[in-house]
Amino acid sequence: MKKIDDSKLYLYFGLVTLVIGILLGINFLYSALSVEKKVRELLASKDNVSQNFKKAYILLRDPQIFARHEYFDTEQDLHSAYKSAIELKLEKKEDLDKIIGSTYPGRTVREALRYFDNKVYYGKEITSDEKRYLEVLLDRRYKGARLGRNTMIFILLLSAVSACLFFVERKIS
Amino acid sequence: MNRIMYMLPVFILLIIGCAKVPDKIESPGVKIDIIKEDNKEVYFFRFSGGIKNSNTDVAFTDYKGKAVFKEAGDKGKVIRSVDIDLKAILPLDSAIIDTKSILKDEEVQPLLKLLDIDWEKLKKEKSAEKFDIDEKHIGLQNVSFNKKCIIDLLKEKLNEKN
Repeated sequence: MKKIDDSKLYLYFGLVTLVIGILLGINFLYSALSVEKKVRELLASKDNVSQNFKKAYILLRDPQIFARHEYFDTEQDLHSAYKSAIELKLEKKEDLDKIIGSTYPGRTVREALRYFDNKVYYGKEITSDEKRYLEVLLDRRYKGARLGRNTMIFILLLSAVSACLFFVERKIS
Repeated sequence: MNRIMYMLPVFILLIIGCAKVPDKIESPGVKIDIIKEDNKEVYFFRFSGGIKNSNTDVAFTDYKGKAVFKEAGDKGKVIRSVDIDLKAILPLDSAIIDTKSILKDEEVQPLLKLLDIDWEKLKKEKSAEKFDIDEKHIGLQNVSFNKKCIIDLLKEKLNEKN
């Protein structure tokens, strides 16, 4: 029986997964080192607060590829908003409750997008109280970027396994 | 590289082009009040509704058209039309239509008949409203708009203010 040489299959699979992994890595690094850093700086600014918050919002309006704005789970977003407030070391949960219970948009990310789109388009001010909801959007981007990073690691592991199998196959041949 | 540069605007246009265009009036409602003007009774006609943009990244600006009250069917006779002029319909948002006009007796009668509003009740109470207008009696015509990516639109607005 003729022995099947799978080395080419392993080589091409390894190369394709390597390229995908690199692209995912670039995407993650761009989000983590450029966009998120810029947004945090703008949100931490003490001068020209409204203007800087608007600039931060425009950066966040462009979604991360793994955290696009099309798909939402309303209950999950509300739960995430609370969880993010604690993890990001914001003020007490009771303060967030007061705002969510009022006319503020904090119920879902979708509501936040609609609310801030209106604010920026019609030239209204964004106040320091509303910073929480920009941070929820930042958190969504952060989670999306980390999902991208984890996917990159998995894909690169596949590439590494494929590379090992390629060398083993060559050795046997 | 050149091929990629040429293809990029095409991809962007495709994405914007794939946007779902608002083509329906949400929650249309009509209110008719009988008022006195120059010692004559006229009909104060108020039409309200919403136009929803269900896209997440595309905004519609300068949205113009006509809301038409028509008989059922694709080629149903148009009884009355109302001009719509909306500055912008932002993503995930609804723009509100709220128009007011004065109608004469001969203009309001066919409308009352179409919308199944009781003429006697209107005469008696001087007011009538209808908020569950059948979809087949209302539509949009001659619609025109500009489509724009929301991020570009917001950047323009921010730069305008600066």
